[in-house]
Amino acid sequence: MKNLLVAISLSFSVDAIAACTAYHNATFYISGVPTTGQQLVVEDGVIQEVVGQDNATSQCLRVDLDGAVVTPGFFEVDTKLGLVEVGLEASSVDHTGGGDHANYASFKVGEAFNPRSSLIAITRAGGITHAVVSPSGGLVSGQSALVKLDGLTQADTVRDWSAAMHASMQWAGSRANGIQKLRALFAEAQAITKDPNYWKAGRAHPSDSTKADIQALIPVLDGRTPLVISASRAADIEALLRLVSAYQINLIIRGGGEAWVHADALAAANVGVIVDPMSNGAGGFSDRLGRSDNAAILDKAGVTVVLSTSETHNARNLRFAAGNAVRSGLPHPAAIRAITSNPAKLFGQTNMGDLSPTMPATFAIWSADPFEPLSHLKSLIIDGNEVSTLSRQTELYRRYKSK
Amino acid sequence: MICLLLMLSTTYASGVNPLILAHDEKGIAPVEASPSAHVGRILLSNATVYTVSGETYSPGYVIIEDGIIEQVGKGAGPADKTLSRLDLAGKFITPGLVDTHSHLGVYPTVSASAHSDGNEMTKPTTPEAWAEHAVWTQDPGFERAVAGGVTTLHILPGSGNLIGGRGVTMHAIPTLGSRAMRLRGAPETIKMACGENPKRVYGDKGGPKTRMGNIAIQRQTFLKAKSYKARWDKFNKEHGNKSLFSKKNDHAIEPDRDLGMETLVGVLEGRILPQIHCYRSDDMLAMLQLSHEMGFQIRSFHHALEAYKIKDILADENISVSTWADWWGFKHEAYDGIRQNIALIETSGGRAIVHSDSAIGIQRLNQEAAKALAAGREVGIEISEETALAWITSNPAWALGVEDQVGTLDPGKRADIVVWDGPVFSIYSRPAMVFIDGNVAYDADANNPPWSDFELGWEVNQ
Repeated sequence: MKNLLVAISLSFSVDAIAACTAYHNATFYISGVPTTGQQLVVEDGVIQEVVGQDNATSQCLRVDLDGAVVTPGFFEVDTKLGLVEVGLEASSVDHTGGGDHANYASFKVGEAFNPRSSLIAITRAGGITHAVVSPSGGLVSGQSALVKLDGLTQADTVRDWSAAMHASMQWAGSRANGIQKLRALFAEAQAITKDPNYWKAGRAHPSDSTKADIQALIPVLDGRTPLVISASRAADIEALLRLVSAYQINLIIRGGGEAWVHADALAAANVGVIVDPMSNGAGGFSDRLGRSDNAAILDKAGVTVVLSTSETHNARNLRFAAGNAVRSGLPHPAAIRAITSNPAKLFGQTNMGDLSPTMPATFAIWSADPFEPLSHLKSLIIDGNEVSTLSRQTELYRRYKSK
Repeated sequence: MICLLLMLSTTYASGVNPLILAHDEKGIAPVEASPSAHVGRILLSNATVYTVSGETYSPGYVIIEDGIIEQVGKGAGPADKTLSRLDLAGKFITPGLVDTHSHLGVYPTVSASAHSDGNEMTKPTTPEAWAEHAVWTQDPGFERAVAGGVTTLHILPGSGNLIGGRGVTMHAIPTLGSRAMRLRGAPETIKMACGENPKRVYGDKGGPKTRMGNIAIQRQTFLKAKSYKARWDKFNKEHGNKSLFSKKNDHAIEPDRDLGMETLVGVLEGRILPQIHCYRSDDMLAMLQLSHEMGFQIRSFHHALEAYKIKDILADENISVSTWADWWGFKHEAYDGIRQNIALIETSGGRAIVHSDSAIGIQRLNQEAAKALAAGREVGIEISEETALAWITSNPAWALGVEDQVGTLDPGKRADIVVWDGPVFSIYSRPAMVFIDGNVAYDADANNPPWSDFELGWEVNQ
């Protein structure tokens, strides 16, 4: 695991310390499309420009990438990274709101995010630079955090303390209960915005939520905070579309095994879908119509598709989830976008997720197509700096390799 | 008539008791006929052929006759009118993949509480249970497995119990009953478990509650099996040789049969191959000590995330390691998993196996092996593609005692063969065709109705 800047050839003037770095001799994935003959000029941790290879950049530190493949850093949107160390050790698990009531909307999981979790470096080694880490439990689980996987403090790593609100449809044994309960909670949140006196002692409409949990739903109703809901069946997705149509909710469906059935409606309603490309209709009664080309059908219809592993310890395998989506029919550029610019867009980050001027210099340098298992990560750059991929696992290997 | 292979090869095997062996044979007798092997001669021509037994031919050919591999060689193969020829230029041929660890059918892919049949978790040791009796043959996962190139799979009980019961080695084929899926002639296997799972299940139900409880119960149970065998050996010595029609038949009544003890006697006699779920190196060493004390040979540790820490011991003891490319961290005993586990087992001269333990993983075992191959190469361990292929073909075949039937492309072995549409370790590749006993078990171009009754009829709802 050598430092890339030692391993590759450099050329720069010994008289001056360059302010900028020009990466060249690589295939750059720009908006998902592999592009050659370009150079990426980076300064102050930001991509300044993407220009032709022959353009003069001699004032920069020129870095020859030796034919490597460069993608934006990958973005895993459905994970408990930093919120769990060992799955079955409850003392190391921080993503549940605790208790058994329906509404935990004010629960912000970012407060428990551990930037020093042993899983972070292990995940970086899969080319992943950002994640949305989400809560679980209840009908409305609470608010996720958007994190950058570089830094030792929450201040450095948590980029958005309220990335999205997360919920499911299942409550008290029936999906109908879940939908109706959500509708009731939304109605309460709307009532509280219209009438400041709504929440006072002795009011006519008692609630089984706390005031904070209702207030936390207000930015969901007008679309400021996206709402991620887990749903698989075509009927469930239809019910959700009906539920959100009364508000300006920015809906994202998670799971969506049968989402392809409603591809056109989802595209028209601007609803994003987080897809697990490994599932193909054998889960049970909830995905009888599931199929491995789900992502491909949705993408073709114009839906913003995001691919996810839904994993924590193996979130690093996001690139293989994407490869499997391509294997099942999703075009390669769409798969790259599905783990870079699409997740950024869905979670309101317009200035990240591509190799584009003004975006952070956050990219992964690969030996070849990152979706192939036989390709490896050569180097990972976050905000212009090369970051380490050493981890507990690399150290265990070193200790035992020759015993 | 089923003919069981007698595994008498190790220093540990005790003499086989013929009466107990006869019980097993009767217990395994089939009712439903297995699908018969293909009749006729097929030539798979012009592909890259990985025999996994030393040679790779590019191009090469395979001749199948009546469901058995007749010939493998270089080039396009003979021009022969009796051969039904398939031109597979541009394709890649491997032995059918073998998965040593699957719960398809017993914790089926269509998860439903009614189908939760993988762990007889009513007491800590249930050697009398057989996974074969719990397999739901309509699990849609079997067809998906064969579409991923898996032709032989080992279905076993879960790891909730210290001794879960017998596993069963089967072909991925559609039959009505599980017994007809069996690979005829495959040895019996037994599932055992150590570490966290059994004590998590039984901690508040009378035990075991600790690792020391785990081992104490294992030792006590095997000691009971030794006594059982001693009684039956004595009975056999005194009465067993006397046939019904012999004047010496003394009509002696056999001792009461204990199905669990019979299975453990099979382990002690080396006929039943132990497959042991165990993660931590110290737990594996404790099970190894148990096997020495009781006199049986462990065939494979499963999961074994810390196998790399004791790789030389495992190689010396001839214990294979069935594990994942990269799963880790879901339990504390899984916390020290590393991606180079399989590569390190390989370098120590051990037998490394990539298993799935997953309905998702079994559909892409080639990708899992590719990940393990890449992890080794990244740290400078030179591993060939052929070696990595062995992790999902010949090595698992050995762990299941069926290495003489499947796992390589050699004359005399079953025609369990995968034709891949691209390089085997590319994520974009999939099987174009899969043969089992020379029959086409999967064809990517065909549009056949689903194997499973559960998948039938959903479209007609519209």
